[in-house]
Amino acid sequence: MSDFESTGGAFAGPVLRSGEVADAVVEAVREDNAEREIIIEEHASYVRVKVAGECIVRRETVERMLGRPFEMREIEINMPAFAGHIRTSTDAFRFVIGTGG
Amino acid sequence: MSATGLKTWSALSDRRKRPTEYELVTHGLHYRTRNPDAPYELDPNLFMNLWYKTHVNAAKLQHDDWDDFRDPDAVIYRTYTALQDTNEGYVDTLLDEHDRAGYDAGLSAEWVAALARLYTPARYALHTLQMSSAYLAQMAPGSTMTNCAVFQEADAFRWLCRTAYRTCELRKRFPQAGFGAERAVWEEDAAWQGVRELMERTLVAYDWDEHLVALTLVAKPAIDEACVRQLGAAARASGDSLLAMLHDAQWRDVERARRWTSALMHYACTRDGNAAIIDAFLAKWVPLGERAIAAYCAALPGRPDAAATAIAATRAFRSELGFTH
Repeated sequence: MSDFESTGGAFAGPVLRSGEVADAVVEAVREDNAEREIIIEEHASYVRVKVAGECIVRRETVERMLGRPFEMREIEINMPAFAGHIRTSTDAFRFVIGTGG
Repeated sequence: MSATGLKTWSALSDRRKRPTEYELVTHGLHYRTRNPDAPYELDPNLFMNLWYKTHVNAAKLQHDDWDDFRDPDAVIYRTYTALQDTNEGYVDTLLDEHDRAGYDAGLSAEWVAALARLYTPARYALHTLQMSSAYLAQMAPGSTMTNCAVFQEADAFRWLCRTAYRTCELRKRFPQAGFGAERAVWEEDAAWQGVRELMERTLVAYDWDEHLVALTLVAKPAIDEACVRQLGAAARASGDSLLAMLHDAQWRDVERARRWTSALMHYACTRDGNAAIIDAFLAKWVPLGERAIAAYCAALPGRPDAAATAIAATRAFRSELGFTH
């Protein structure tokens, strides 16, 4: 049983291919969602980021962590799945728990 | 030629901006739209020429410039393979991790029976989506549309392969549970007969416009909502987190398909009369799609609202595009 299910689907966030982008997003998520419970699951080739209720990934924070300009579509091509519903813009991705599914 | 020469391919030179990589490798590639009387060259009465003239050139849905349609994701072969390399790597890891942990041993007998009935036969449904997408790719009167259909075909093949892999794993773990008999289930089980009828009728909807509408606005959304989203939810509720996670990953492809489908429908409807043509096709196809959803979802364990939820989702998709059916 996944944590997603055992917690009643209360976590939202991206699944990212391991690497530079994933590392930066994880650090950015820790900073921008500091008030929420965060679980980072490290797997062989991917990282599952789980934030209670809602997870926000801000471009500005990821850029600071990477130390270079960053476009949100770099997350798109490194994200094979995610939990929750996604709201995208050029400056942030927001993953929220929804009623779908 | 002027003294400065052409800055790009002549077909793209009047667009007042530098063409993107996407445009260079996607735009205006169909030779079959050059000569309306002989789309595939040679004798205008050759079978393939007559086929194309009947099912594309004489179709109801027309546009002054189909080549001006753009895939909002601008997917090309290079980016598709890079994207799916990441996604396939993730699926590989999911499967390996669960296999090493002896995951299948923890599935309940009831759920294993549901998998044999409702999950593993889906490779037949996926193959019909693959064939239907291939037909659309072959017929579409614009190469930017063809590209979208080709990658949708590849998406279907991708999940067909993963379903076959899981079928083999499950058959080894549960040799008496009926895995391996998927064709009989697909052809005879009541849960699949709506989907099978829907797809068999779609595959012989030879007019490209009707095929486009049947596939992208009815059949694929029906299968995605019922056999991916609702089955995934049933899996999650039954403790099968692996299937739920596989279907979450599959949903990334579904979302991309909906983005180009939406963009294409918006583009098609910029020509007066096209929205009504599409709606007329929908009036014919939507009941088939909803029957398919109802029959499949009725078999999902513990999901009494599955059919209503899936049907509502497909209606919302079409309604957001401005269609009435």
